Amino acid sequence: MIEQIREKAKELLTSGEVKVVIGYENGGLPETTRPVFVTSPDEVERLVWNKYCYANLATFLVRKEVSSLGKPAIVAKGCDVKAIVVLIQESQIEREDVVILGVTCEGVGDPLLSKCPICDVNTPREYDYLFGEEIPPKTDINKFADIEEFEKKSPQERFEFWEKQLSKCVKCYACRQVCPMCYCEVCIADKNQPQWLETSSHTRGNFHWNLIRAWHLAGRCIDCLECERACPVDIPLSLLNRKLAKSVKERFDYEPGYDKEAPPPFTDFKPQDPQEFIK
Amino acid sequence: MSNEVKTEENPAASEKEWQPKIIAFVCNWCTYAGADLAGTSRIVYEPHVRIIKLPCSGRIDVSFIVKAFEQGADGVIVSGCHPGDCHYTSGNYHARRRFAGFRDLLEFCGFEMRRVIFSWVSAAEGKKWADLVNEAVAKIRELGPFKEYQKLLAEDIRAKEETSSDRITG
Amino acid sequence: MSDDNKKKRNLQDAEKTSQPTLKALRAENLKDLVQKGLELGYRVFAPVKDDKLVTFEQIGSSKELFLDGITTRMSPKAVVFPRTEKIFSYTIRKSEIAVENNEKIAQPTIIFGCRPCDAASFPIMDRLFQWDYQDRFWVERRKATLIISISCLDCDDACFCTSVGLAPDSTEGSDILLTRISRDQYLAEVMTEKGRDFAEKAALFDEAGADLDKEAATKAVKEKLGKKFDLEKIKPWLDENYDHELWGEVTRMCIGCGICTYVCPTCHCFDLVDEAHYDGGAKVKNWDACQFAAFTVHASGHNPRPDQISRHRQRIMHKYKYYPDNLGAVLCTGCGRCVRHCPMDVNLIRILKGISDMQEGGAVEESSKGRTES
Repeated sequence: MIEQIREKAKELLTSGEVKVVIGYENGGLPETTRPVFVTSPDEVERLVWNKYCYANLATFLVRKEVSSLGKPAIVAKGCDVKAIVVLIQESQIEREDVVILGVTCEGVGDPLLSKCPICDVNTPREYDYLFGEEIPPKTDINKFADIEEFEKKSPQERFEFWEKQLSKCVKCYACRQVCPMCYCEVCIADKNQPQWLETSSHTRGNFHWNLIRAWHLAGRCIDCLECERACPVDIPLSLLNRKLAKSVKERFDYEPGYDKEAPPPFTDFKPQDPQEFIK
Repeated sequence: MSNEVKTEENPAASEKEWQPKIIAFVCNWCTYAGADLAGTSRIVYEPHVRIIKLPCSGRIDVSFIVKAFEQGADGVIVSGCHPGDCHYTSGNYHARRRFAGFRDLLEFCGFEMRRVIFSWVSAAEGKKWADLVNEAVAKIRELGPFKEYQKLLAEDIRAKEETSSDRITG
Repeated sequence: MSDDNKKKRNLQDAEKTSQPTLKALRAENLKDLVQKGLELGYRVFAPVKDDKLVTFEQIGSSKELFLDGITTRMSPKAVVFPRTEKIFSYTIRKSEIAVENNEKIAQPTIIFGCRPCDAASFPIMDRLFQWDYQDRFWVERRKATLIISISCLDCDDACFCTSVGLAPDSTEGSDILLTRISRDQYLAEVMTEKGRDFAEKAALFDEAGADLDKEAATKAVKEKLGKKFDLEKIKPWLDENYDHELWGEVTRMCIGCGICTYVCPTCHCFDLVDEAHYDGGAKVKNWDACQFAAFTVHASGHNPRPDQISRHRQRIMHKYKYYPDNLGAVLCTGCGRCVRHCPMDVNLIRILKGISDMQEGGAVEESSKGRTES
């Protein structure tokens, strides 16, 4: 598979159709890869594809250090492609301005990351070129099994759980930086007139920050789980983000990342939206 | 009686015992007018609500609710025009989706959702407003102060009593 | 400047005993040492494990200790330099404003079980916090903190202390360094008055026998560490190559998450913020990071480091050029945390190796040498 990816990358760079191929190269530590930005056809041998290709490279499509290089081709697995779709929905990139080199993927990590057994985009849903054998999507998965499990806890237990987890937060904002959907030039956490979110690391402020971030990703987060992987203090962020994904699915029958024409759920409404909780 | 209101006969009612602090985020055109109508109609209802007027329920952000709790509120009311009647046509439709989303998120994090009350109150529904507030106050009285959250405020940098160890984190 | 700075040595120097005292500690007494510290009224911070996260927490009993593993996730710098710290608070009542300074800064504290790379970070940062201003938050906490480190007998691919002039058994910065010589015994090197004082009170140390061979115990790990790059070549290259195209090449994948600065034992930038309220507030000191986009934003809106490439270059320059130029030490102890925890594997080791490979070598001035003699 990797030879084909390298061939295609070489072709695209030589013809000038793209100016940079965003992919993975071998990292400096064992069992790691690193994002690579190949701008010359001679360097395509640097590209690799293996089960350590964790990073969601879509985050680089909206970073000026990379977009300044010119039109990109991007090596993307199913979850990364979902992120690209959301970026297109939100007009951050135009579909024709990116060449998607979709790769079929059985999962990353050893052991597999928690997102992989419940993945139904082993074959990416959107691509210009597909590499690897097509894998039919899984149909019998419950994406929210762990959320349902968590919801069995009492409000008291839930609050204590989040209090403990969020007291660890050091406000490094790595979760935000690694997320392709957190592309705001000035994040609400950085605004200080007024200061909605304090920069200190006390549980109250940490609670607020993490709630807001999860909220701003509602209906947009595609569960790449990069935030959880990046977090230096192991906060289970995916629980928060995926809870909102579950709500959005149940209430508005919407899942982000599958349909680039669909309006994002919170810019849209229906006259018959659920309101059972409103007096 | 839990619905005790400060009156001439009982002036101490709201002075010594804890009283719920409820913040209400309401839209200007409907709910605020409805609350006003409750006043002009001389309806007597619980005074333990502080109203914050916004142009539209669509302006309400989840941060407002969280901040209200952070500042010591025991309950929050969020109210706007009935769907279809929004002064800005569709503000409350967007709000309705948002309320659904963040209500679920707050519940997931263990917030007692009986402390957060969503409603549609029109400009003609003075009585509904009064009933809503009375119900809210009664419920919050029953639940008591929002201790779980207010405990976090004690850890706050601003708190005067220093906690036993400085916040280290890591 | 450099003469003055050479005089402003670290806080520990003043206390250093003329000759470190060698003692022995039975392995079974290691936990008792911690208990003793608790009994003597110290706050004890030691590595604690919570699922996969090993990090320094205040412990109430030696049972909570977790000393296996290469090192902790976050460094112990937070014990002396907390993530969030109140400078003063104020309350507004009618026409009166009452200000309350944060007086209770320092309490007797032990950092137990950190690695030599962590211990060495403290004297390095002393130079800054006593440079042109005596930062009493740092100074008072430092004075009240006793550091008992444990030598490394193993390392991983991210460790590179030997490449920055340190070692897995370096005593730099430790009040007491424990090295496991055998299954039953630790060698204890008591480096300072503070250390000697504690050792006496703890009354758990024996006289060191001649058979306690530290060299032999740490030979294997030193070989495994090797040398990953030539430190002597780094600064000369940095001195001349601010605009080199290497910077774009090696930092383009940096997403500015700030994890490297937060886990780093020597990164120390902070932000002073006001947390205000209608009836009062506080001035608070929080960790900041040069990797954050808004770090250098001016009031005018101009940002001299507008992209991640310039920001990441700054980090490396600061650690390997500016700090040595200004304060005479490399601002890095080779603990490897930035390498281990970077989500995009920007990997400082490979950058420095690349630089040292590129640099042709040549005479290096005394004052710009990476590591000073201790």
